[in-house]
Amino acid sequence: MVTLIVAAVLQSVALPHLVIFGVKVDLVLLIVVALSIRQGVERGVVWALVAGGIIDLLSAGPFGTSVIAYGLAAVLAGTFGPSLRKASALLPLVLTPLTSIVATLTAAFVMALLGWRVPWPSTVALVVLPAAVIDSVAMLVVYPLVSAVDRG
Amino acid sequence: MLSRLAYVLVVLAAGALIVLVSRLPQVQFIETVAFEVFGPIETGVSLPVVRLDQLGQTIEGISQLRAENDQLRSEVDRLSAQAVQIGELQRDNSELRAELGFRQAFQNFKWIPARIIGYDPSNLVHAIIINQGSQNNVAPGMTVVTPVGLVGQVVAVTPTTAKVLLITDVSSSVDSLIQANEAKGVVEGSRDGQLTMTYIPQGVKVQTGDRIVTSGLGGVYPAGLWVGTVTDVRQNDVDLYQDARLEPAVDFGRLEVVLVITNHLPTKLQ
Repeated sequence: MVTLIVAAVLQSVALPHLVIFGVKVDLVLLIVVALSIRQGVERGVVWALVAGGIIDLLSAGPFGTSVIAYGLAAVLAGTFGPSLRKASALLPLVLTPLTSIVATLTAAFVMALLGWRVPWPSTVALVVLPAAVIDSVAMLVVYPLVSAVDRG
Repeated sequence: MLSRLAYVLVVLAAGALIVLVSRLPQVQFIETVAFEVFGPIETGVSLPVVRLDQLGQTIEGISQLRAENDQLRSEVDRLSAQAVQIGELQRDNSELRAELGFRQAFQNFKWIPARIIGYDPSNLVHAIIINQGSQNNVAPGMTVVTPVGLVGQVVAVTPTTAKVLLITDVSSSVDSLIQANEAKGVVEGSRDGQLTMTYIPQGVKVQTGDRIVTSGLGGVYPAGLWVGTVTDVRQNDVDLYQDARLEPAVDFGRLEVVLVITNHLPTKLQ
């Protein structure tokens, strides 16, 4: 819980100074995905609901957007992650781009449903795809750290 | 053990419930109280981060200066160096003129300065969090500016913080006009952080370098605030309107302090 709060504050305060390809790393999502891979879908969804709520508090976007987005990402990671992890320790990382795409698209879809303007072509080209790449690279660092903390 | 579909349904149901419940005025105070907890944390964390950022910029600046110094040593013609200096002075001069013009043009407005303590954590929303809230009479709908130009609008407040939606957000739209000929249009944000002025009537002459300011139409923003400068015009004879790409007046990448105009609120239409 403390880790998630620290990560959320970092994501709001520090990571915007490290924008690459126009997007910043979704550190909280990566932690939720890593925890879902390690702990399974049930606990992953709980982490996602908590983390999504924290991010929604800090965002000017509609409340609940991240809860749903992170929740679906946790279902995806928690369903397929543990079995992939049995095959290889690092194999679950292939889920990162997929969960990033699902989370961002879901958030955009919820915002569109609630009346926010979402220009889909530029959203996909300039946010969804670059975020998937950046998140995948960042996960190479985040996943071992989360694993170390989770083991401890 | 719940099935995969059941988990998806649980997440969607929980999310939808949270979205619906969070819109009830009776429970919005809970969100305000919870968000209020993050204000002091972000204030505490943002200062060292800004300092680290400035340190990084200083180090970067030193290496840039070294490279520039080497380049200057190799240059035989001193006049080219002078030309660079003149260019810098001209840019500083125009920024100072903009600041002076703002102060002279908007003497009737009351404003309070606010420091940026955080940014929106989502990649889908361009917003900032500032360290002034309802305790200092900041309210949703208030206009946020810098001495140079328009920044955005307050969308939510707690006693000590406020969320400001930037004009570069795709959901933002600002009724504006071209200063040279007073032709009206709407400035919208885009995913790449630039601005687009749409609904400019055909036949209106739009040129690169034209200044775009707020029109005051609709009563959302005060009139005359500098929004941006035209960098490109897209005109097609078969279209009803023409569009223009704008460079924002404000450098959002270097934004640290903003001004909240406290005596202008959007006009409520009955």
